This record gives sequence, C-alpha cells and structure tokens, in this order.
Amino acid sequence: MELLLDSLRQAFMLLIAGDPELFEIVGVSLTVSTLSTMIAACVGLPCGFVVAFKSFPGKRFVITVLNTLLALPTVVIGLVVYSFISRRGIFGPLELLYTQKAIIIGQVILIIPVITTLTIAAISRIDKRYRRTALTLGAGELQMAAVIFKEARYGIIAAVIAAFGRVIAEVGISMMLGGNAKGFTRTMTTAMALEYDKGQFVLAVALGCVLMAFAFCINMLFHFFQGRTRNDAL
Amino acid sequence: MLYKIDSLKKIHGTTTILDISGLAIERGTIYSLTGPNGAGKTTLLNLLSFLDVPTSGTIHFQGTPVVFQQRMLHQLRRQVVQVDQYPILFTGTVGKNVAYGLKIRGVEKKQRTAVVEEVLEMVGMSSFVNADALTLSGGETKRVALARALAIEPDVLLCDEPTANVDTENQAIILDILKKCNRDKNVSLIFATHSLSEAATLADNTIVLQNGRLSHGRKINVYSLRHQRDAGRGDFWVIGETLMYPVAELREVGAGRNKVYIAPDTISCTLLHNREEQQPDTWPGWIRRVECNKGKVELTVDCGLDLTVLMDVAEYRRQALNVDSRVAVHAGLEPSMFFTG
Repeated sequence: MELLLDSLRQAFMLLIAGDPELFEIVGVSLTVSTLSTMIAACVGLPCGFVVAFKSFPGKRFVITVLNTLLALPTVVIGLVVYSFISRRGIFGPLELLYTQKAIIIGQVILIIPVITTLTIAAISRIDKRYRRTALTLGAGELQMAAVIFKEARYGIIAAVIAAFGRVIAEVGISMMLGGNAKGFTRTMTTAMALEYDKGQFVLAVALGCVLMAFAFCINMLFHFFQGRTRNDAL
Repeated sequence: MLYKIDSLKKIHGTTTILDISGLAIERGTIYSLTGPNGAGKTTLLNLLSFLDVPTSGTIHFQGTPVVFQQRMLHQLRRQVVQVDQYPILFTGTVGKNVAYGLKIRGVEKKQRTAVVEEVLEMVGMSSFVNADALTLSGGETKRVALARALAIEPDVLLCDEPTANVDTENQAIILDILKKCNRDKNVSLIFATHSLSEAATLADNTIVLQNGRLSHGRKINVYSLRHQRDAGRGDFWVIGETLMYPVAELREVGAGRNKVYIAPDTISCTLLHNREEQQPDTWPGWIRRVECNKGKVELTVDCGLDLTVLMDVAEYRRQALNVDSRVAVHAGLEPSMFFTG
C-alpha cells in the first residue's frame, strides 16, 4: 500500500513538472492511435454501410465473422502481422517491423471489425423510411447514404470513439510490432509494461493515470453520443 | 398514357400480395386507389413509385418499358414522388427538408429558397420555415412532406392515405392542396384511401383492389341510397332499394348524397337461432360465401343484397358460423360513409 501511495505521489509530481519523457510517450501513443483510428474509419464505415444496406449471399456469415473478430486477441494480430513484415515475410523488404507504421497496421486490423459492426448496428437502428424518402425524392445511392449517415451520426461517432478507446489501451500489438523503442515506438502501455519489468513504478503509475484519464474522457464521449442516439429515437 | 401495367405480380414467400393482369393510368388525372386493409394498395403504390421491384410482369412508364435496374430507376424516381402514410422528415429545419429534392438536383440556393417559400405558402406552413422539423405535429408533418414532394415539381405524385390520422381541418387542407397541384401544375395524382367519399369527391377515376386483384365489378359494399318517409314509421334510408334503415340523426349528413359505403370491418354478424327474435337495427341474412384471407374471414351475406363482412377468425370460430348459417347483420352508419357518386 505504501509503495502504491508513494508511487502515486511521485507520479503526480512528474505530471505537474511536465516530464519530457512522459509527454513524449503520450505523444507517440496519441499519434499512433489517432492515425490507426482514422484509417480504420475510412475502411470500416463504408464496409458497415455496404453490409447494412446491400443484400448479398452470405451476409449473415459476414456479420457473424465480424462479430467473432471483435474478440480477436491483440497478440494473435501481432503474430500474424509479424509473419508478413518480418525480414523473412513477404513484406520484409519494406522494413516495417519495429516502426510506428507496423503498430498502425496491426491496430487498424484490430479495430476495423469494431467500427464495422458498430456502424451496422447504428444504421440498422435508423428508421427505414429515411432511405425510402431519400430515394423517392430522387437521391442516388451516395446521396441516400449521406442522408443515413446524417441520421445515424451519433451512433457512428460512438463507433469511432469506441475504436479509439480500444487501440489506445492495447499493449500486445504495440509491443510485438513496435518493439518499444524509446522515443519512437514506445507507447503508454508498452512503457508501463517495461517500467513494471524494471521494478520502477513511478513512471508506470504516472502513465497509468494519464491512460485512465483518457479512458474516462473517451467513455464520457461515447456515452454522450450513445445517449443522443437513444434520445433521438424517442 | 402514364402507366401501362401487364401481368404484374408481387409475391412475398408463398403469399401473392398483388396480381394485376392489366391496368392503364392516364396522364394528368386523379386516381383514387381503394380497397380493404391488405388489399395491396401500398404495394401497388411502391411499384408505381419504383421503390419496389415486382416479382413478375411489366410496367410501361410514359410509353417506355421499365427496367428495374439502378440507373433507370434513379432516372424514373426523379419524375415520380411518393408521400407515405406516415411520412418522416429529415433532421434539420422545415426549410431544409423541403429544399432537399432541389439540392440533390443541383438547383442554386437562390432558386431553392424561392421554391421553398412558394410550396410552404401553398401548404400553409410558411411560418415554419426555420422550425425544427422533428417538433411538428402529425398533420403538419404531412403538409411539410407534401410540400417537399411538390417542390421538385414531379410528373406524378403518389400519396398513401394522405388524410389518415389527420384532424378534419388538416384533411380539408391536404385535399385542397392535392386538387390544386393537379389543376394548376398538371401533376398526375394517385392516392390510396379508405374513404370512398374522399375518393368520389377528389378523383376522376377509382381503382378498386381486393385481395391484391383489381375489382372490376361493383365496388364492395357500395350501394345506392334513398331517403324515404314512411307514414307512421318515421324516416328511413333505403339502401340498395332493399334495406330500410331508420337513421333520423344522420338526415342532414346524407342530404344530397346518393351513395353509401359500408366498410366490411365495421359490420357485425351474429348467428341467429330459429327461436331467437331478430334485434332492432339488424338485417337477417344467409351466409353465401366464406373466404379466409390474412387472418381475417371474409363473408358474403345475402340479406336482400350481398354484403361483404370482414371478421376475425377467432370470432368466426366462436360463433361456429358457416355457409348457409342464418345471421343477423348490424351495420352502424356514419357520416363518412355517405357520398355522391
């Protein structure tokens, strides 16, 4: 108990003092997570629209697979991506391993199913009459999709926020594909794991506090937008 | 010719929702589409507005056969617009809703604003232009939805139950708008309705659907009506020259009207046992035909004229009715049932 309280006190001092190492780590984490969320959103949102709107053979199977992928362990993604980008892998010559790009690739794979399934759910909740109305007023497929996007906006934003929350807190992919290189691929979670290994808790606790603060803010945002969706439905 | 329909079928699973062998709809006229619930009115409207695809058959629109493919459907939908029974407005202001169709057609903002003003004026909703569309009442929503449809100046306007669930005042406004847009802008109008009086007053032609098929013969439960004073017995409505109906309180409503429509689901039918005496305000008759359709039983009762009665299966079974059962039929007349035809 004394160890935790002591670490907390010192971590608090570190945060107030604006420790450069701590902020560098937070910066890497935010950069990597933001980029991977943006890329995954560019893929996951259209995929969600297509799956929600189009009728095609095997649609149920696709949704089941996407739901299964929600439970994909980060270490499995790390392992698979590693096999492709390691020196002996087919993308080995691109020298992606132990770079921020490698972490982003892994994280994008991790959260595409999250964004896609939550987008499908958000669109499915939208009244079918919006689609019919847009079409009868002369909208094309893309214009109709824009109407649906607008009506489902809170649910879709919530999907993206949930995905961001997933990547900023993950450790497996960042550790296996990033390599925890100081100032380059060291994220909040990998830095905490390292500090724990070293038996030095101060930085780990400080990072933990920052991470928890982020998690709290993300959850607040998520519930805010989820709440808007429900209120709109009333 | 606006529409020409040949052998059109719409089948869901094993149920045939619509089966029309042939139908022609003229340009610039008003058609009403009537029939009981589940007759296929909305399905036909959805096919005519190109929002649904038929299972088989062909539709010619303005002389061209319709190919149910995305590109052609998109072109056709720009000429035909449907207003649903329960229309939905997009998030945003009333003005933005009305301008939507124009915006996606690339009409300039200045012109959009002018059209929005004009159509909102037409439906009497000018003061709502900046109001949040989701805060409107049912009648207001219908009027704005109508304005949104009219803003794009369609060739054809399809309305599903335009006055359903709307108060009397709004009903009159909506009917007036529909008549005006046909007369002033030559918009062809097809509207589904339960109200035969509405169909008779507004439409040039009536399409009657029954069980998904066109009813070419006599409209169901539509009869001629005559007012008669019988010395000593008071006032009567004579329905179909056969039935005498004492309805003194509806004398003013029926004045000048010569037709009555008795909705099949408003008629009650009670089994008459030999020894039972007939209740007042009922007509004795015999069940001549029984048909089960979508959870309802349709009876044709011969009580001097053939009356179509719609009842729940449970009620039909409870009374153990059958063909040739002797029954007492009761039909309460209401003001909306009278019309001039």
